[in-house]
Amino acid sequence: MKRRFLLASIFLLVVGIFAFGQAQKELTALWFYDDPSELEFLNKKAAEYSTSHPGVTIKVNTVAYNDLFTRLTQLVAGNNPPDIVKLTDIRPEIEPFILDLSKYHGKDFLKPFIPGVAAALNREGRILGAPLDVTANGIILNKTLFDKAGVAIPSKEKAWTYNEFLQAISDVKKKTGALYALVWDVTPHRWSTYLFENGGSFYDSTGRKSNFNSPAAIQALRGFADMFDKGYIPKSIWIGSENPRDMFFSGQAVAWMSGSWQVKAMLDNIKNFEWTAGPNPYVTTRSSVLGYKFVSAFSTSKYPDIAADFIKFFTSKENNSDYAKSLMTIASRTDTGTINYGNAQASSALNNLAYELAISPLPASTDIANPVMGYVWNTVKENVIAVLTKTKTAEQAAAAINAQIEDSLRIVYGK
Amino acid sequence: MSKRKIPIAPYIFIAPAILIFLLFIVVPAMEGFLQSLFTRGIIVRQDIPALRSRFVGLFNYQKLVSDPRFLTAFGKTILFTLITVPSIMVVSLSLALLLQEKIHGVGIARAMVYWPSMISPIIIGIAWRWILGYDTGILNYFLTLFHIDKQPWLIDNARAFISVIVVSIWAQTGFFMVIFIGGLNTIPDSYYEAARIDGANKWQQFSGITLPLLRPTTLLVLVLSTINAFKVYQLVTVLTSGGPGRATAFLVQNIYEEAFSKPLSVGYAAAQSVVFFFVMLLLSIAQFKLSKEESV
Amino acid sequence: MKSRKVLIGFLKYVIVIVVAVIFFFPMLWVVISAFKGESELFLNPPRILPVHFTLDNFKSGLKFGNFTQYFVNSAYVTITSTIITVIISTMAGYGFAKFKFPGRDVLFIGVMATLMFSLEIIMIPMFLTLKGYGLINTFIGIIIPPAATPTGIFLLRQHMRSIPDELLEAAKIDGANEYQIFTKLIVPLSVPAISTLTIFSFVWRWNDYLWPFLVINDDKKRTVPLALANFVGQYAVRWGDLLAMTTLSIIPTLIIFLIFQKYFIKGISMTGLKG
Repeated sequence: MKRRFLLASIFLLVVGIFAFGQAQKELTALWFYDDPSELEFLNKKAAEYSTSHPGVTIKVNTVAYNDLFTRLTQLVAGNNPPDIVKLTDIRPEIEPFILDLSKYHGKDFLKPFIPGVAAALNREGRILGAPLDVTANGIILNKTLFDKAGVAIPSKEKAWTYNEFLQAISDVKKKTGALYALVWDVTPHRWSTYLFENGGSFYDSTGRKSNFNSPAAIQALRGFADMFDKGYIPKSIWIGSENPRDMFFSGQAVAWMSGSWQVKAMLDNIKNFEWTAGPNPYVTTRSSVLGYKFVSAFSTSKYPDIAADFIKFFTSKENNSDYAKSLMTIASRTDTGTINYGNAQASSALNNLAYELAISPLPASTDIANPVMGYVWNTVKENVIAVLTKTKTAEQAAAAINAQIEDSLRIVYGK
Repeated sequence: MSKRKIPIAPYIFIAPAILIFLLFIVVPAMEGFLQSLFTRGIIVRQDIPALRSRFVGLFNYQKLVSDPRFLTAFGKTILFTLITVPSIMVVSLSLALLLQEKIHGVGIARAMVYWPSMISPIIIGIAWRWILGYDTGILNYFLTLFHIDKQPWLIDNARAFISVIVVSIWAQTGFFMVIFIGGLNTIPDSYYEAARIDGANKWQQFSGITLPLLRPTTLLVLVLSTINAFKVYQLVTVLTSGGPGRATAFLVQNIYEEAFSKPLSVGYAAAQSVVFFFVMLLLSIAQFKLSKEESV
Repeated sequence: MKSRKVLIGFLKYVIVIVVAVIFFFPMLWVVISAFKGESELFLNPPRILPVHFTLDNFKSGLKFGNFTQYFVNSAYVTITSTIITVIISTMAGYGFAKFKFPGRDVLFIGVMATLMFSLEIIMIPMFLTLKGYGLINTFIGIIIPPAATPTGIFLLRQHMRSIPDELLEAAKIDGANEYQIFTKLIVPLSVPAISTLTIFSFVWRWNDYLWPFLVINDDKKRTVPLALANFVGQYAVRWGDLLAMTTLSIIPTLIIFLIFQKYFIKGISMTGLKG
């Protein structure tokens, strides 16, 4: 009797472990975020997915954005990458380990997404991820100051040239006593807005050759420095280490070159003035610059089919528009329709920025998506600053950036 | 002590520490040395063409001899070390002498000086950026109150370099002060009493008793502060990110950027680390020899 | 004569206060700013005291993630690691300070040489090594490897060199063995250095970012510094939360400092000599 009981319990235990083991398919997701509500959103969707797929759990681990690449290379080097990961670019070291989603969802998986991003994630037929949202660089204005000074902001269709724009913001500065006319995010990505607005680009249309040794690029380096020399942009941000966002948030800057990702933070934090986005000024070409985040899976995953399926679920029409809505970003799909962000100021800013992006030239999205860009950004930043501090001429800086682009292309593509 | 014939005891005493060093530092460090002989990226897979590594012998070492970025960063690091180390020693010893007194509330005062060491370099960098900022900085604000022009602390190359030095000294003084206080405590009061009876004044007591008897602690502070100065990285990255331009870009930052933001440069970065390591090692050995303490 | 003494005493006080304030001011600003709203942080001209005093930063900071858990993890790791550090550094310090044995100087320089690696640079080999030992995502992985610290060994060694050899010889003549000499004589005489190391080790481990970053990638096992890093996003830093949580995270180290600095009492190490 006792023995039978013992056997029965062992049997139950074994079955239990087996069933439990069967039931628990745990996938890990590695995520970075700016706004904690993004994490809440992800956890909520992961829970929804578990409910509709019994036995599957998605465990979320987080990493600071600055450490994302280090963490990923560690995990890949240790043969233990996460199943799912949120990324901003795919560096050549990581690319061989990324799961090709076209095997699970077909070649047309990215059709419903914004073409620039879809192209960036399609490498010779391999689909390396699904876009989460897109961002657009653009000018953000302190509308309260404009109103106070009685200076008009042109419509988004008409826009303004840099001369008109700089005149307008310095008028506003003078009349309102604001401290800074223009502040500009200290990143090479934001600087590149000015490159494209000058009609320049990093690469030629094939993406395999540098186009940086061009008059437009040199002009973009020189013109940018001019805006500092003439006192429109305070030197303390690009040469020193003051933060443009903080200057704008405190209400002391008239205009700020940043982008669509700031909308939610502005809505949450700016209480004492009204702001609006754009239109972007131009030199020869009207341009914003594309930015994006996407979700990828690793081919080393134990459950690649589930990882691929979760990505499809997470970027579905409903979830993508939910994502865009709750984080106040521009949806990465074209079939979501106009999203109601539930706030007029936010909606108008995001719509303006999306419009700027839509009329931007092709390189403003393809160049950013170029696989070697990860090796080029640092050099761009250093050389832009070198021109600002007059340690290099615009020509020398352009030549240095050009050389880095060519070197990186050669190392990544051979020859 | 030297008469001991079969000294097993000391090996047992040092064994746990040595074992941990062997397992956790020496093993990966050897790997680092090996990397310097290859052209390779962060991840190596011989089955994936783009991620192969290639043995290049001493090529990476030849390359750095004529690399202006490396050489400039190296020179700046030396200059930085030459200025910060003596300053830290003087300031922290002075504070230790001041704060070893048994006055009421001295514990709180020590805690206030040591406070910067309790906080991560990230926060220290941020706090000083607020202080030294050109437009939003509080230091310039105070200057304008006294009708002095705003100073471009982190914008001008020379001033940025000085700012980095001052902040480094400020950030480490508390730590070394605590070490000095510990050292001062080992000097018996009776020595000072005897000197006082002999009529020695404060300065004579300091130079005749304190300094010589403090020698082991001084060596400790000298070696540690030199290594710290050479390895300066985090604080500077947060404060200036090596800027303006590359005015405050020191060795570790250079190595780190080389490894992580350039293709197939991990081997080259490793070669820089190896050179860096040996320079520091030689410096430390020289400091030991000069203090004549090793020969005891 | 007496009034001169009073004056000097008073002057000393003034100097101590001035010095303390100079060193403390920047950090005081961090703490005060934790009670300011986001829009008040970057005013020009700057303001020292908050216009609207608020505890919102603490509330929102604590709400995010599971800070209670992170504090518990940090406390566990810091305390165990510090105990181990103190034990092995005291042992090794003694071994290096009071014995002469073949290979001593080479071994000691070798120990110091481990200080000369920047962990930032050998991160990937280090990660693979730890993975090889099966220590990834374990607390042991953050406790043991950094517990052996060259600084600690060096500190104790230098301190013990000032302990007179005659004391050890006397103990030996009285029939004490190595173990007894170590525990009954050396350790009590090294209390100031041990308390110094306790403070250092506590602060290092409590604030350490790189080791936990290497070892831990499971959010539940995070320590406080790892969680703090998440306040720095791709586009912006969440200043309010970061300042508030930093302020909270300083409290334990401050307490440890105030407790252990009491043992920096002058002459304590020489009680053995006099008695």
